[in-house]
This record gives sequence, structure tokens and C-alpha cells, in this order.
Amino acid sequence: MVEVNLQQQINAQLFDKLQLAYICVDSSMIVVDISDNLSSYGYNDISIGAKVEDCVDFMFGFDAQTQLDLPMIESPSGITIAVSLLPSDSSLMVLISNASNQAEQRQLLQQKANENELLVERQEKLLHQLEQASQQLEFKNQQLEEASRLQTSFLSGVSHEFRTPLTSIIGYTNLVEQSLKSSADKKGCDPEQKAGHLRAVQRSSRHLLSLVENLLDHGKLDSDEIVVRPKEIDLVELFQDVELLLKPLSDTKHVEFNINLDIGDSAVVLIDDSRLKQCLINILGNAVKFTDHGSVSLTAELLDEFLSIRVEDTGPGISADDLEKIRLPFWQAADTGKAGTGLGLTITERIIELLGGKLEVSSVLGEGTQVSFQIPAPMVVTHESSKAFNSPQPLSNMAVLLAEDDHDIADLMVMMMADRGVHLTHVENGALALEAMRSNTFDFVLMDIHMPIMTGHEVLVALQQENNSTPVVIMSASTVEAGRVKAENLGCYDYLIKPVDVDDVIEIMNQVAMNTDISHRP
Amino acid sequence: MSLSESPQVKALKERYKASFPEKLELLRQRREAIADGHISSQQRMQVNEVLHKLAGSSGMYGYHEISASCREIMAEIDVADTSFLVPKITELMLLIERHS
Repeated sequence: MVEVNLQQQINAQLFDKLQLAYICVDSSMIVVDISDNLSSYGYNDISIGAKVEDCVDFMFGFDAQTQLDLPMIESPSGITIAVSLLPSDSSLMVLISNASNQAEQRQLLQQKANENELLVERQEKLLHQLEQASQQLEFKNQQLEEASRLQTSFLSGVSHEFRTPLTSIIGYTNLVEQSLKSSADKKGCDPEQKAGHLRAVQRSSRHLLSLVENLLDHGKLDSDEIVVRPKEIDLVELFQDVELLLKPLSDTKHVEFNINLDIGDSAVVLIDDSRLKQCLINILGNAVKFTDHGSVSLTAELLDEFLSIRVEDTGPGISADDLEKIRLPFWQAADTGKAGTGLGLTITERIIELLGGKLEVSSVLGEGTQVSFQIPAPMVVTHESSKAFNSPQPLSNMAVLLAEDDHDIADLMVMMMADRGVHLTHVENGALALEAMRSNTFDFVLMDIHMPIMTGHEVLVALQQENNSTPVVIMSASTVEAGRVKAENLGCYDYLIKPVDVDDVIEIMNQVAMNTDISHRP
Repeated sequence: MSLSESPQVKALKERYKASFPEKLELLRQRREAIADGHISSQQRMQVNEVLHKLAGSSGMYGYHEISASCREIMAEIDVADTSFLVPKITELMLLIERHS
């Protein structure tokens, strides 16, 4: 008896420690015994004599012979439980234990597995990135090697390019010097001969100057420092200048040089003449340099406010392989025997892009080369046509200053205003604006507030002190009301919030123009 | 030809778009400088300077969403702490990234 009690006590303790609960059912699945702790799992409605499947969900469909382990199910109280069905001859014992720890551990394991999977994914991604970086490095390395080769070739080319005109300058100045000395002995060469020598010096100097300009521009290519500044120019004069520069060179080579213009009666357009001239000199200079027999001709057409240029030569032509490389900086054909910097076409292409066009080059080996491009060339707004913008005065006559330190904004303003026939003079800070307003008369000033060296507010203070009443329109990205009030108190004409609509600026300019006599301006 | 969309203006717009990586890098540097939770008055000024420029130029080039986002941060710049600024700058960077 004592032994039985002891066994019962041990069982009870074990059940308690393991949080074991049980339901004992007979062969007809009727509950015959239950443990006291069943309610801790939320099984509160199990009573002796009841059919077990009516009280316990997971028992539905089982008979007394079923032997089964259900490892993870949720009890009515939300605890994860493990269930074992243990059949005997005349009954079935349903053992219920707390499986929360196992569930947690399983969850942790799953989490670790997920993390591992993530790590593997990351590792694969990193390996992929490493592979890509390695490929990029290899590509860069190849580019560097090519750049180094081109730089070496450039140095040798540029040395030759400089040496030729310099030798010519030294030679001709020596001749002039000698003739000056000789004239003292009354044996000097005649004045026409001296003038010829000096013209040769000038030609060589201009050639040197264009070389230096190309070199300087190349330095600016990467930093986007090349800026296009359109102004009113007469195309006929521009092409005359180009002819004067190139003709002597073609004459010395006995190569025919023609410029054919089809630009109508009025050829005054809005264009950056110095940049266009630079492109034409580069293209024509190349054509003349590489053409030893035949001709070089330039054809210019002005149609629908677009200027089309075509330069054709009867030179040796360019192979299909080389055509792909001619736009690369420093690149020069290996077997021509003509030295150069290899920069002319690179710079020309970029400038033409900035002018709004695209450079096209086609060539047939042994027959010649054709270079062409088309750029916008808006006709200059005359008094009559300016009425299209409802302008009481031709705004193109107005002297307008733009003070703006942000190049992105300044370039866009210059270009958009140019499209409307207005030329802006641009300065980058308040101090320069004040200096420009002191040394020039402006009809209108567009000014940023937030600028280095001297702010827009400080410029307004200085203008007030100097009794300068030029209308100043402030453009600011700041919406802080105090900034506007301060500018208005300092006498600004108007205050615009960026982004500024150029049509608003035009409207204000029209107001200013109505009250200002600008008709005297050139 | 539309006056506001001349080839030169289009070329400038392309140039501006190409400058986005540079602008992103500048924003990243400013964000990194304040990522430890502290912001000095000088850093506040530097952040404002970048936003001010970007607010003006992006709007001029037609990126009104970017401009508005800059202004939203600028409106709080004098009082905002880094817990506001860092995520807002990140949002702005993502916006620029989307337009790149």
C-alpha cells in the first residue's frame, strides 16, 4: 500500500514537473479519467462520461487503437502542445505536454536558417559585385593604357605643331630684321616683301593661337566649362573672316578653296560667333591640312532658322575603322605624316553639341571626306517681330545683367532668354554685379540673393547708397517672407521665387521697357 | 520650334540630368556628416546651402518634385534635429535617384 502511494506521488510530481496532462478514454472513446491540470491548457469542458471528440477538437475521427504523436498543435489557451495517443487493451491514454520551448527552439532554428540563407545571398551578391568591379578595373586599365598611348602620341604631335609655326615666325622675323638692318645701308628688300613676311608671321601666330585655344578648351571639356554665349552676328562677315584665315593656307598648298553661301537677304542671326568660327577653323583647317590636291569647299545654308554647314574635301579620305576613332581625344591617323594635337575634332563635336547640333562625318577612302552639321540660328528679333512677344520696345535692345552663382541656372536663363531675343551679361557674384553696374549702364538686372562674396541684399544696399535706380528683379529659391520684405524695402523692382518662368521675366522687362527709353541702344 | 525647348535648352537639360550623381554625392556627404545624431550650426548651414541651390536649379529644369522636397526640408532646417533631417535627405536622394 505504501509502495503504491509512493508510486502515485512520484507520478504526480513527474506530471507536475513536465506539465503533463492526460485524458483516459475507454474503447468506445468515452472519457473515463482526466488529470486536474487540463484546464491550464484551456480544456475546461471535459467531463467523465462524455464522448472525447465532443470535448477535444484534435481527437475527432480517432479510435481507441490509434497510436500517434502530434508534435505541435495549439491548445485552446494558445499554448503550443505536444500530444501522444497511447492505446492499451481496453483504453486509450491521451498525453498532453507543454511544447512551447520546442516551438521556440524550432522558431530560433528557422530564424538562423533564414539568416544563413540571407548571408549566403549577400555573399553571392558581394562576389558578383567583386567580379563586376574587377571587370570594370580591367576595362579602366585598358582605357588608361590607351590614354597613355594617346597622350604620348599627342605630346609628339603637339611639339611638332608648335615647332612648325614657331620656326616660321623666327625665320620671317629674322628676314625682316635683316632687311631693316640692310635698309640702313639702302640695300633692304622692298616694303611689299616686308609686308609679306609680316603676314606670314601673323598667319603662324594665329595658327598658334588656335592651337592654344584648342588645348585650353580641351581642359574645360570634362568640367563642362565651355559656355555658349549667343549674340547678334552677321553670317556674311563671319564667313569672310573664316575665308581670310584659311585661304592663305590653301593657297600655299595650291588647293582650291571655295565658300558658297545660301543665306538669303538677311543674315543677322543669334549665335555664338566665336564658337562657330572655332569649329569652322578646326574643320576647314583639317580639310586643308590633309588635302594635297584638288579642293576644299564650304557650303552654308540658312533655312527655317537653322544654319546647315557642309565641308567637303578631295583629300585621302578616312577608312571605316578610323572613322570610329576620329572623335577620340588625341587620336591621329598613324600613317598620314601630318602632325596635329588630335583635339580639334573632339572639341568641335562638343561645341557643336552645345550649339544645339550634331557633327556628322562621312568619307570614302581615296576620294575625300565630308563633314556637316546643322545648328539653330534664330533670326534676330527686329522691332517689327518683337511685337510678336507683345513688347512695347525691342527687348533685344535692352542691356540686361544676370547675377547668379549657380551655373546650371545661369546657363539656362541665358539660353532661354536668348531664345526670346534677349542677350544677358552674366556675372557670378554680387561684387561683380556691382562692379559691372558701376562701369556699364544696364536697363534691367536679374539677381540672385544667395551669392558668394556679396549677397543680393548687400548689392541692393550699395545701389541705394549710390543712388543707382536700375530696376533690379530678385530671383530667390528661398520662400522666407523676411527675405522678400528686406529686398522690397531695399528697393528691388520685383521679387520672383525660383523656379523662375522666363515669360514672367519678359513681362516685367516689358513693363520696364515701357517706362524706359531704350531705343537709342545699338 | 517651341521657344522654351530649343536644342540648346535641351542640351542644357541633358547636362543638368547628368549632374545628378554629383549632387547625390554632395547630399550623401552632408547626410553622413550628421548621421551620428549631432548637427553643428555650420553643418546646418552647409545642408541648407546644398538644398537652397538644388531647390532653385531643379525647379528651373522642370524637376518640381525635387524642388518641393528641398523646400520642405528647408522650411524646418533652423529647428530640425538629425532624426528629421537624415531620413528626409535620404528621401530626397531616392527621389533624385529615380530621376537619374
